[in-house]
Amino acid sequence: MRLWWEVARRGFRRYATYRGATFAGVFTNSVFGFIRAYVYLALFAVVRHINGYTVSDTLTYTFLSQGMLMPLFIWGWSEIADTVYSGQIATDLYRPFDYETYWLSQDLGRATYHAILRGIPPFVVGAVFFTLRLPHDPETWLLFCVSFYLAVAVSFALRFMVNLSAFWIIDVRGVMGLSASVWTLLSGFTIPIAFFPETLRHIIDFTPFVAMLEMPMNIFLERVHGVAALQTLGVQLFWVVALLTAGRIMLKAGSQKLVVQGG
Amino acid sequence: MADAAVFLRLAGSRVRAQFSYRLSFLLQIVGAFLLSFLDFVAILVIFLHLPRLAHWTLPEVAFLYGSSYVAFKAGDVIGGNLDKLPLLIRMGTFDQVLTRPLGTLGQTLTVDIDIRHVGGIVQGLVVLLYSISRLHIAWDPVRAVMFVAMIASALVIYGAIWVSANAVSFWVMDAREVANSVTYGGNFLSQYPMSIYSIWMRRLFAYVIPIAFVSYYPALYILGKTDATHSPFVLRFLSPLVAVASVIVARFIWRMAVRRYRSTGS
Repeated sequence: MRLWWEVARRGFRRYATYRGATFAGVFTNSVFGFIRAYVYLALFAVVRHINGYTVSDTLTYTFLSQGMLMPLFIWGWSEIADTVYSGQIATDLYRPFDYETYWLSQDLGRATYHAILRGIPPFVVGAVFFTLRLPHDPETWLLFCVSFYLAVAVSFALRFMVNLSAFWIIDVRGVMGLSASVWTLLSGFTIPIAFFPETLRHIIDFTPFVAMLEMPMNIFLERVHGVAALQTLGVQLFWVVALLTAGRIMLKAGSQKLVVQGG
Repeated sequence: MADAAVFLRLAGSRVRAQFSYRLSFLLQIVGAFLLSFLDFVAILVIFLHLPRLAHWTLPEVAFLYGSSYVAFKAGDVIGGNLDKLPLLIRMGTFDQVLTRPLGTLGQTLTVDIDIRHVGGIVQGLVVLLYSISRLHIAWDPVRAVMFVAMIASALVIYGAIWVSANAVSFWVMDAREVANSVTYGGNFLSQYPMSIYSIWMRRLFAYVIPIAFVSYYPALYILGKTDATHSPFVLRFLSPLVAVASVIVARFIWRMAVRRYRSTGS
């Protein structure tokens, strides 16, 4: 446990080095938040509710999801794939700790950094210029924190598998781009899942993607309460376990196939 | 003009290089095609809930989206390379660029030609054709010329914005992401009628960063719409002029930026 805690701390510190990039990123996420916010203001100038969402729910969703972009790290993480191509992974797999847990801890540390420095600022910017909705119940914050980390773990498990596809594919960029585009839409980054037509919504609900964004949002906006909130966390946990197990199987299959050049 | 021939050959070799991993390349084009549909899906979903967004119908918004997106993605094929500028600066490889007897901007732009964006261009065209087929535009010679001028000017304006925004890397290296807020952000903003934005955003994206001239102003004329922002009528025809002006500004910014370049040590 102590080891994983240290790995997570390293993950946190590693990203803390790039201050200029952090500022630039917050600025850009906020600009996108603004543009989206005005689109929704124009939409809610005509309609009053969409599937229970009011205008302030939607604006809150907008800025919170802009803040969660970096913690969930959907785009362009190819660190493990790179080690497959360089052959470095052979050494990494020898190390006396669990490979998947190592990267998961690292990623949770990274996500904590991104949550604080890339997640909160765009939300604060949004709250200054628009009316956002903060949770009414104090325990919602706690539930949201748990839900947030489960969402990061789901996102990590998916990214882990995409990276491992490097064992079989010579260039993973294609798979990465394709999967990122699917996740962005189906997790609710592009537009809240609640705005989709009903039949489509019911299908998307069965995918792990909603566990990445839609579910933490439902908790933050208090669209689910009490037992239902705990159920939401349960579904997220199910996906974390299922996807991490799948990743483990994939790692096993891949490393049996691995051939490293050179001496 | 001899330079142009060199750049064309450089670009050609970069394009051929990408065909080496065929399956991955194909997946990337399909990925780009799908990814670029995401923004449009958002527009479609919004129009499930209302007939007009700020008095614009779905085909009209699709017209803004399509015309702007085609130009943006065409610009991205070349301009997207400027993403690699911070790396050139950090590694000191920009030195090599300076020593060659060719323009620095041209060289930076041909570091890599990313033709995956073809997927995005096709998607923009599909949306544009859909919107034109639904719109009953009163085509006449003026509108036809305006349409061609709009796409051409948009391409040039986006190119100028790519260059000006990314030149920021010469001053603050790891702040490149700021450039995304005016390139990708500008394109995103141009997909909706300008009238939905607040007044300071409209001014910023019309007079400082000329995104409103990419599609909104010319589209007002082509579609025969009234402007809820009450801008002067003449703005609808100014896109080509704005394009020329933004190239001049971009060249100036690039020159100043390159002059600031100090190589890495050792």
